[in-house]
Amino acid sequence: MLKKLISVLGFFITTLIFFQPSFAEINNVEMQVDGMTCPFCVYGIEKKLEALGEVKDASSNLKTGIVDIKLEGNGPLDIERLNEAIRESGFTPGKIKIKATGEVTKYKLEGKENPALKVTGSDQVFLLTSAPNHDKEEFLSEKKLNEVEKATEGGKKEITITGYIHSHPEGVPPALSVESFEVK
Amino acid sequence: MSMNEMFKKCFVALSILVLFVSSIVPTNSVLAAPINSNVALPVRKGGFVFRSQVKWLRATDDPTSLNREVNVVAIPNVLVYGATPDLALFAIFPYIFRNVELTDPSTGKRIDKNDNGIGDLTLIARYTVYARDYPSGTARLAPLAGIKLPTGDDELEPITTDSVNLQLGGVSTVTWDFGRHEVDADLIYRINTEAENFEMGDDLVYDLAYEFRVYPWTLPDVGVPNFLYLVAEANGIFSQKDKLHGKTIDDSGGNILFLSPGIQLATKRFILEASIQLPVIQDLNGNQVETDFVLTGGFRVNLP
Repeated sequence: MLKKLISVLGFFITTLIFFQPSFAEINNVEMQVDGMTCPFCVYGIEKKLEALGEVKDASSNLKTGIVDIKLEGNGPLDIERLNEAIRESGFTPGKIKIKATGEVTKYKLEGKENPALKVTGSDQVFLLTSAPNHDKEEFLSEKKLNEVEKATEGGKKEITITGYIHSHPEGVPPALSVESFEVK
Repeated sequence: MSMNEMFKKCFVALSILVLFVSSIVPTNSVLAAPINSNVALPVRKGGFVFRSQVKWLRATDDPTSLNREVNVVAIPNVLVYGATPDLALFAIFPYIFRNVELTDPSTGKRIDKNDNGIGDLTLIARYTVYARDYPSGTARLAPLAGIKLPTGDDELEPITTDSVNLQLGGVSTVTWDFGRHEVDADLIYRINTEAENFEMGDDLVYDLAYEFRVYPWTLPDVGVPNFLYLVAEANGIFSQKDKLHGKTIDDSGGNILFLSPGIQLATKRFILEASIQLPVIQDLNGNQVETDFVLTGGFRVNLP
């Protein structure tokens, strides 16, 4: 009886160690908020963001005007909800930069296969684009995107991509412009 | 003249002063902002901000032989609600203490009278019609409209009145250099109506404020530090003469301009502030007691 109990416990412990549930791998979300220039107004912005179910914590940086958002659980990142929360706090949402981990797949859009990042542990998909050069308001070359595809070809590889996101019309996944990446 | 009539005459003549204490200040709303005036910055949708101040007005310079000395302590409490990102609603409910001391001309003795109670309720709606945000600042313009209701204690007349009064105006705010500088300006016209045979003159109130962040001089690379501002304000009121039984009261109305240095500590949750309003122009009609100063201390809190 004791042996049986030990075996069952051993099975559960092994399961817990080797088969941990996978969590959504959007590690960082940094949101620019225009007009946020004093501590008292920061309170309303953070409260509005934290009222969203998918946001665990929001902390601001007045020097950069960026709010660092920690996500809760596996829910998808809804850009429009974040933007609306900022607008409801009376300020203007700006660019959103994320760091997400997943694997590069293909997403079929209008008959064409586009490179996309399927985020680990969630249904979130980002269409990958080349990074816009925000200073010059022009797109960089396709070089960075080609590098991603080259680095992940030949099978499933976990990749962490950092870049800016923007939403698309309903039914189309949001875009993630690749600024930098790392293949594990 | 009876004692009551003397006090009443004194109070009517002081109406222009008490207006400053009881009704201009409360329409201030939120954020690092002027201490003695309005601001056009936003309140989050569904959010509340509570503001309270203690204002001590002292007026002792009496040109008459009554040698009136007036002390008014007003506590304007303001609850602000963000109905939408652009529409903020204000409810202002002051509490007021008043002391008047004067010389009885028939006996030569000093006599005084004390009153305290709830002031009139004022409701204001402010709508932002222009907002331009930048990474380093913001510019906003918001008209406002308000109504004063006769809900205060009668003993405090004419700080309280039985009339329903209206106010129309606008506020604007500009901040730049990541909160280092802020300028606020506002202009409000108040239409005062007659009730119980008394009509306070219409008035125009204004404020121009500049706030300069002295701490931290340079923003840290991370986080949200507390800000310490030095505040310089110029504010004043032009007031028409009051009327009693349809007859103009000569000892009422006029023009007052204050210069008001102040200091303000802004944190995420609270703002603490203090200011002194010093009169630089007091062009008052007839024989009215002139203001020595208005001292203000207060706080604002972001409610959860």
